[in-house]
Amino acid sequence: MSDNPIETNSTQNDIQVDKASHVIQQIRDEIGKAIIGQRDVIDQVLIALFAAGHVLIEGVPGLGKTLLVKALSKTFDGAFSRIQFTPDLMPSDVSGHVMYDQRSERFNIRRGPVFTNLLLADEINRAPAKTQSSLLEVMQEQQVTIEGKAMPVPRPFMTLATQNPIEQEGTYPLPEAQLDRFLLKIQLDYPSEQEEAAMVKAVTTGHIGDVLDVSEVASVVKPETILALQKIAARIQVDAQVNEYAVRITRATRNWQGISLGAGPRGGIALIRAARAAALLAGRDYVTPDDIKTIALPALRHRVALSPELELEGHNTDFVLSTILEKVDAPRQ
Amino acid sequence: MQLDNVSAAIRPRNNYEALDLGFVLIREYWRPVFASWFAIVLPLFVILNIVLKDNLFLAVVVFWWLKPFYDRIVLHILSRAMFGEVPGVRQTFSALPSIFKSGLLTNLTFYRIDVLLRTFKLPVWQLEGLRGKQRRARHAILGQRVHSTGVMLLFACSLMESILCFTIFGTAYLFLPEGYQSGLWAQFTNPDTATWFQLASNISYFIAVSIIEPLFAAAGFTLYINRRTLLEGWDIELIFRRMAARLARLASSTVTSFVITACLLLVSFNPLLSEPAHAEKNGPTPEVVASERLHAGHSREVIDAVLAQDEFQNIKKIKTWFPLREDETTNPDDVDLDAVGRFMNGVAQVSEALLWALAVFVVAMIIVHRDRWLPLLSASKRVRNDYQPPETLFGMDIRPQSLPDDIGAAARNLWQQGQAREALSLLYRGSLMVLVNREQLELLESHTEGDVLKLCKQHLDNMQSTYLARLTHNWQNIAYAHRTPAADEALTLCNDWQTYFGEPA
Repeated sequence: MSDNPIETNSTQNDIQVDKASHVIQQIRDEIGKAIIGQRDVIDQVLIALFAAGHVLIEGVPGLGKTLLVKALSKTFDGAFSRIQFTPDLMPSDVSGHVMYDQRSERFNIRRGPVFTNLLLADEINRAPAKTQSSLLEVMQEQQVTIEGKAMPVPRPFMTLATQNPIEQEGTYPLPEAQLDRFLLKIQLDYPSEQEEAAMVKAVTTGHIGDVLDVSEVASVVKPETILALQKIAARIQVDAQVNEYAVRITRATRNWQGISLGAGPRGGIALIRAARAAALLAGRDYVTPDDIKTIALPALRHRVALSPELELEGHNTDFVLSTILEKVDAPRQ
Repeated sequence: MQLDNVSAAIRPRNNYEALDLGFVLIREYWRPVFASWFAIVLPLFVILNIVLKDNLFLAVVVFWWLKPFYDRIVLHILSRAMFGEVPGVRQTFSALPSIFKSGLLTNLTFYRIDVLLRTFKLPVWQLEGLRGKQRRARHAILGQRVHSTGVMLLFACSLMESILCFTIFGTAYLFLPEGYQSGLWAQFTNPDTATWFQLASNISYFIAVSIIEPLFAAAGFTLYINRRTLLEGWDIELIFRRMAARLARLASSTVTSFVITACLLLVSFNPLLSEPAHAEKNGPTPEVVASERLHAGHSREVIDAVLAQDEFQNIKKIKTWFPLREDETTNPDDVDLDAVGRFMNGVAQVSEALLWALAVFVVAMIIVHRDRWLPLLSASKRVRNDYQPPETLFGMDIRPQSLPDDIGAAARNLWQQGQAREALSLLYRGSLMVLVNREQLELLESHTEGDVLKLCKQHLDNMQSTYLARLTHNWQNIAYAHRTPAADEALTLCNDWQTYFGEPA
């Protein structure tokens, strides 16, 4: 077995993964200084960052979404901007526009808020489809075209779009095709009692007003390190059996009773990409079926549509996906 | 009270007919009743709501408390209207002092809670004017057979009143703008809307009371009238009175009798007028008193003469059967059963015995098999016994017979032969076999290695769990990363397997 070429590569990967794991742990610790609890959410956001994906966060307001993004951007010294989506928001408000400067008698390009590393698109479903698609285009292409001039957005680039599960009146729900562009959909729940008590104490002690404080978060890496970590994550080894397992799960959603629209091939791709990053977070240089299973709910919950009967009975996609995971055979070795 | 002037037909009725008479009375005299009602009760309601405007709920409570007063107004009008004298609004107003004096204060205080036969007892207070022991004795006699009817009347009227009140309020509520329909209780407690909602409910209650209370009072009154008719024989008295009046009238006026005799002559001479239909048109044939009084024997002769006429000679013969010995009664027990009857009786007795035996058997079986059904009552304690250990898991054969007796030694052999993957696979399979068969851990095809580690925590001790975690890590390494573990690690795993997962001594 020692002459196995994979093994040689694996050993090199192992060293890189060890270093990466150390860096990731530092980032986690720094974010932990600003955000109390919500460990799963932090891990899932980091998974999306290292998998170079975008996330859709669903949760009621006031659970620390902005704080999370600010803290994360500070850990790698990245730029952060936020767009509050409203019904009158124009695509040029997102991507930027050309403006005539009378003094210099020239047209100047004013870059929009998308030229950043971490973009928080708050309540994305409040803006009309035109504005939504302008952002989704940037997410896909990683560049903005203004007046025929293509301008790439800085790397790493991640969008964290939020949606409010209540107050659906007057919103523009994202179409299934656009939801597909997000790598993960993260459910943000209320913190536990102890976490909330600790949070209230931490936020109100010695702070003036309710300004989000990330002063304690230190920058531990540079944006380039994040790009390097993304490269390492992309090289994480995936066994054929594990790959098949991801595909089996994705395919099972297509002809499952209770699901009217299953996940497309992008679902399987997202599963493997996210599982790679999850393995990196776990400090492994290979993906196990457990990684796939852990990340399956966030990676697939926005790619399937429930049948009306199940929705009427009050079930959600997580319930159906959990049933699928119970029924799909784990890899055979 | 002039019994002769009564406008209703006085006859013995059953209690529910008597109640119905009350409703008919209201239909007949609704104008004077409601005129006085709205002249007296409506202003009272308005005053109450104005005076108690800071606590409108109290206003409606006071309005409810004053109900015996309203009953008296209705009774005052109906009791007079029934005997031919219909009081107007002004007369009712002027009668208010007498109404107040007829024990109203007692009714509104001490006897307010005595609601069951309130309107039935009211005439004794108000019309008969009895007090103290006399009143109680009178109530006892009158109320003997009407109690259940009185309760039913109260129940029906209260129910109708509530239904009407809620219906009127609900109808008004439906027309409110959407924002005010969020929650009824919230609207009653919200300081901005509470006054208006309370006022609306008060008005609904007033309307409901205005419709139902006169009916309640009238039905109680006619129940009382009917009871007195039965007890005092009002119907018989009325007939006698009318007869006496009639005879007195005929006897006293000879001039009248002369005129009547003349009329009779006219009638008898005119053949057209003698037609019965025509005679009816001109009213009933007038009565006359004979000039001389005939003795009883003469009457007999006249009757016999009439019966001897041809019209009474139509005799028919009818044949029919009747028992000869009617006085003999038959006892069903003494019936001599015939053969079929005896057989049927036997069948019935045998069936009864069999059914009893079956019942005893069922009870005995329930007791004998209590272990089976008792756990069903406590579903949470139910233990699933139907789990069958799978033969293969993750594509690996984990039947005990498919594995060698000494798994640790066999794995070591494989490792030494360079078959690292097979060696670790054997160790992992062996562990799963132990978990599934010995520890009865319910593993499914969909469980991953991580799931197995989580699930087995309750079944294994710390040392076993640590060993299994190490084994799983090495197994995952070789399975998914194709990375062979260090020889020391692998050999330790092989050697320790028997310690943690071997057959217990």
